[in-house]
Amino acid sequence: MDILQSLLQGFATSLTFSNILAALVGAGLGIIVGAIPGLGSVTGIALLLPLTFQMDPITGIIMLGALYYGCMYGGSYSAILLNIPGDAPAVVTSLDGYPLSQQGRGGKALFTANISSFIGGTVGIIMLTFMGPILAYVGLMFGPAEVAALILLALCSIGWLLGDNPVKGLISTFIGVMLATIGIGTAFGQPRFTFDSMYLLNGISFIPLVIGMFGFSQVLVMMVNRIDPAAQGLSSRLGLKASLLNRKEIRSIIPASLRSGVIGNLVGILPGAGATTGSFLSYVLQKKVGRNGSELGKGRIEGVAASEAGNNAAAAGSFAPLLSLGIPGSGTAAVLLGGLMMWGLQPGPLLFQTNPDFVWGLISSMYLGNVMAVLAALAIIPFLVKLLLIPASIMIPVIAVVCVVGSYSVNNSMFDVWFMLGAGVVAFFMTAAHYPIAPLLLAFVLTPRLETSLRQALDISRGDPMIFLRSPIAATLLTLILLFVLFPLVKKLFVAARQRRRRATAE
Amino acid sequence: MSNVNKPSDLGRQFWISSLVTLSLIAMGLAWAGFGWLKYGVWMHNGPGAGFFPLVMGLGAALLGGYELLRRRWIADQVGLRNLWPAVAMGIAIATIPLFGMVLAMTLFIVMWMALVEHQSWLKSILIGGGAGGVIYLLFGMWLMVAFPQGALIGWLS
Repeated sequence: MDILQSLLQGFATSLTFSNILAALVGAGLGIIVGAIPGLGSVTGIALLLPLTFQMDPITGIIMLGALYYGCMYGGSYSAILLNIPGDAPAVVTSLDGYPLSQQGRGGKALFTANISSFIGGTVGIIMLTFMGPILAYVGLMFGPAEVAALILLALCSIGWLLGDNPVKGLISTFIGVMLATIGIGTAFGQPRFTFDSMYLLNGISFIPLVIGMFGFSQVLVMMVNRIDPAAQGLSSRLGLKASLLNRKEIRSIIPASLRSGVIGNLVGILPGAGATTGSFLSYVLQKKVGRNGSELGKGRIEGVAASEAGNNAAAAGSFAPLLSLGIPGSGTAAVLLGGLMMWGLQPGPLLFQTNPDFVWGLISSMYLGNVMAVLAALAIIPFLVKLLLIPASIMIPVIAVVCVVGSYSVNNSMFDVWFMLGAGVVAFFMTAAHYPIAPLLLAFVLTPRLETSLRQALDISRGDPMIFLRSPIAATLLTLILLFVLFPLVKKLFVAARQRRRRATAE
Repeated sequence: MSNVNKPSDLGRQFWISSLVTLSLIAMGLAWAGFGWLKYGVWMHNGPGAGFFPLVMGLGAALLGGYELLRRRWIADQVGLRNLWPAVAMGIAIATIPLFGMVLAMTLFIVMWMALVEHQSWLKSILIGGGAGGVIYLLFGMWLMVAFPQGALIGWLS
């Protein structure tokens, strides 16, 4: 009851005209920033932070919270419409979102992304409201050994699940890990594979890599495989009415969104794991337990729903360690932490006692931000789907230019632009040879955290690998990995034995 | 990423499939070699800087070898025409020190639409100019991205 009362008080604080306006502006800006390839919520919040210092702290944090949610919604748009994921979690969204666009169902993919983002975000915020401190302490139970085991589980499942050929999927995963070892790793402080180039000292930037491998390689594919929207009758299928989800489709995305909301939120509270792991594990779970799981990756709205609900719930989850313990769970939360400290607030266990107005105002503003973001996002869908009607003769040069500008704007570096171009050509040939690209990118994102956690775990145990078995969480995760690897083999042997028995009986 | 083209002839499929796999094997072996010989695999009771490159490089090379032995030459149809945008964009990027980012990208759109897509010059200029304007306003003015100006602007001013 205390929590409900505090939440209602929070709503009383946050539901003023100026705060609602701030939420609307924040959500709108967030959608724009999130939709621009190369920019993400960290950039958006960093850009807006100085402006909010003039405001009342509660209004400021409401605006930033809404911007964060808006970015989460907008990040999926370029992934669905152009196959250019705006940020790492959107890589998973593009797996089903872009095929849906190619089938002329881009509007439905956008609606699904928005509605499941809303459901996932709401699940995440509700869990944060009622279990915030508990969630934060669960997150703390994940030490280096547990985090390493969790990321290893994600890596093992990536290769097996994405693409038609698991061997090629695993090779792509290995290549992603190898690319992530370029530069000075945080675990060792030693330059690797830099070949004396100062541009490689910080490693490869993720955004130019993802823009090249997904966006620019798509331009090369489009050069020959052109989709003529008029000839394929896409215009009739891209109207607002055709984009709305029917009852059957809504029924199919609700279980996926709720399940992914819970998974995403739990992963989001783990420092460093973040929205990418949240959206990917949600997608994996959907593929394993959801209806039509085997169809995921070929253009299913359930795939978009799982990914989007997972990453929005993870965004809410990352606030739990920030507010309860003062530990940011993601890059965006780290920027927000800076903002809170500049307002004179010290996030941590005492924040709930010393500044209850602010904390509950912030939590209630997340509900407000989520509602504003979904309203703004739904309102612009009719305009967004028109993008799909633009002919390839215009799309090819414009997307190519967006790829160049997006990859340059991350670090203001021409090296990144050339790298993006090379990555696009390499990805084009890999895709032509049926090597899936998504495992490579996801492995690239997860590897630095895996390497650091593995090193830290073995430092703690002084080189004793039994640390992974002594921890019940890590041991469970490692058992899951073993099952994951062995299950397909056992299933294959079982099916072969059954077929032999049947043949013997028939003879 | 969906990129399913029509199946090409077996010879071309063989070359694309085997060349890509061989390149990945070579990369894996290079990573494993550097990891083993240069960076150190195990040090101070834990994995060294070369541990991941060695394990992952060997993994990629071994699986790549297995893939070659399976002799499944599956690849989509690709041709030199697919690489035109990369070549044209490479030339456009090379002109950025002269024209600056916004002008070079505007010229790329205009030239591509007019010369490759055979659109009218007026339409090409309108779309190229519009796209350049949006990029300048969004990235240059609002997000304050410091685009390269190009030597031409310096000479003119």
